[in-house]
Amino acid sequence: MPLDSKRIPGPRESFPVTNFISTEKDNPDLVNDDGTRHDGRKPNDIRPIFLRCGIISNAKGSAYIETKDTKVTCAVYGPRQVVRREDFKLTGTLTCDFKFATFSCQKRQQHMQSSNEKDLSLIVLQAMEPAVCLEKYPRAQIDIFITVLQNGGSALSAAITCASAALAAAGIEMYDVVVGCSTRQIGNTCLVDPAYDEEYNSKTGGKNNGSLCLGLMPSLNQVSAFIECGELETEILMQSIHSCVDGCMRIYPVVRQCLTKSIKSLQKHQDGT
Amino acid sequence: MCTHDISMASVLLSEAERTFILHGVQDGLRTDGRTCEEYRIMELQCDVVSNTSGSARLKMSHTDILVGIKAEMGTPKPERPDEGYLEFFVDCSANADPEFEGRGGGILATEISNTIQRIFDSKDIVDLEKLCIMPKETCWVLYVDVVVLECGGNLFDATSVAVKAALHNAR
Repeated sequence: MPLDSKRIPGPRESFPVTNFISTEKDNPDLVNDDGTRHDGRKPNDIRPIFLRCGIISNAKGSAYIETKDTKVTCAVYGPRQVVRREDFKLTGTLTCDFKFATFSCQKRQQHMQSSNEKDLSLIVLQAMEPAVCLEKYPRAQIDIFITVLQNGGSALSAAITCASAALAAAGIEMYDVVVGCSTRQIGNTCLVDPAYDEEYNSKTGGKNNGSLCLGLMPSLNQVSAFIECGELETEILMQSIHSCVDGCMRIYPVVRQCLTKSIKSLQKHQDGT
Repeated sequence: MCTHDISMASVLLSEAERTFILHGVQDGLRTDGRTCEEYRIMELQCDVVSNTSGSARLKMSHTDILVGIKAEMGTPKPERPDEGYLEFFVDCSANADPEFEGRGGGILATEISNTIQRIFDSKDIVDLEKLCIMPKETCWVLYVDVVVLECGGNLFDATSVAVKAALHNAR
């Protein structure tokens, strides 16, 4: 790890305290006998979402999403001139930067972007690219910066939704918003919107142990991102995908409501001044 | 930061060539004579590199992937004290495509490396507990290094098959 020159160095080797705490939970099963999960939800329930645009005044567009314990903020800058002259293209360029804040996960993250974060950046980029009308922005670059302030599970799907809201709030022309939703499959149960302790863990054995993250464009009914971990049988996978799509369709009205609210408040602000 | 323009070796197509290919696909025929669902013939050789614990080389028409596995002893990860682990590294060599020179291939390499990591992160594929020597003290670390010698399309499939073969070959 490159030495962090901005910090006063403490002990060289440090590891999180959680390693020493026993991880034996009272109920190792993720679904109780009465069919509820650890936080009282039914397997099909998504956590209530709070989505607000226009929280970063410096950015062209920004959004903040909060689902119980997962807090993600996104800022969009652009369209602006491409940073490197060699990238001069007739269609626009979209870049994405995904970062976990160092205090966001149970284990302290590094300052530098780890390879996992680079991978997640690429995933969000691939999810957003089909939705943005890049031909309308020749020779320009649109930057998306995502920061996860707290990772309470399903950070990637929250980030995708947040990025769409921020892009729309920035006035970037898009074909459709992209809504993200994840599921966790254990055996025959499909848990939509997994919390941190419900996320995919390769240690839990058994058949059909996997997780899925889907990015859907609701009006066009097209999937723009699909990430799967673990082992799932084909039929179970199809059921999981359907649950994900259902979840996305339930999140879509929240995104629409948030965007109309932000436009209305913008209009009110302009009429007032 | 990542941009997505240089993903695979980009080929510039004229409009006529593009239409030709699209029409062919609609009729179920691709430019090299295959149907839409046919795979190219793969040649797989194991134990090609003598300095490794296991290796494999996969050739699929213009795609050439070489995987080498070296086993070393290390300390287990603190959250999994009774398991060994695998470390994946993908190198898109400049041989494959001049665009991969220097940092160019880095983004594609990260993407493949992360995908492979996700694929092989399952109990049924590699039993990590067998890689443990002494819990919390030492374990085997398998360094899986992939070199893309030639980039002829479908790198993900080829890499995953080659890694599987190399893991099978590793003693």
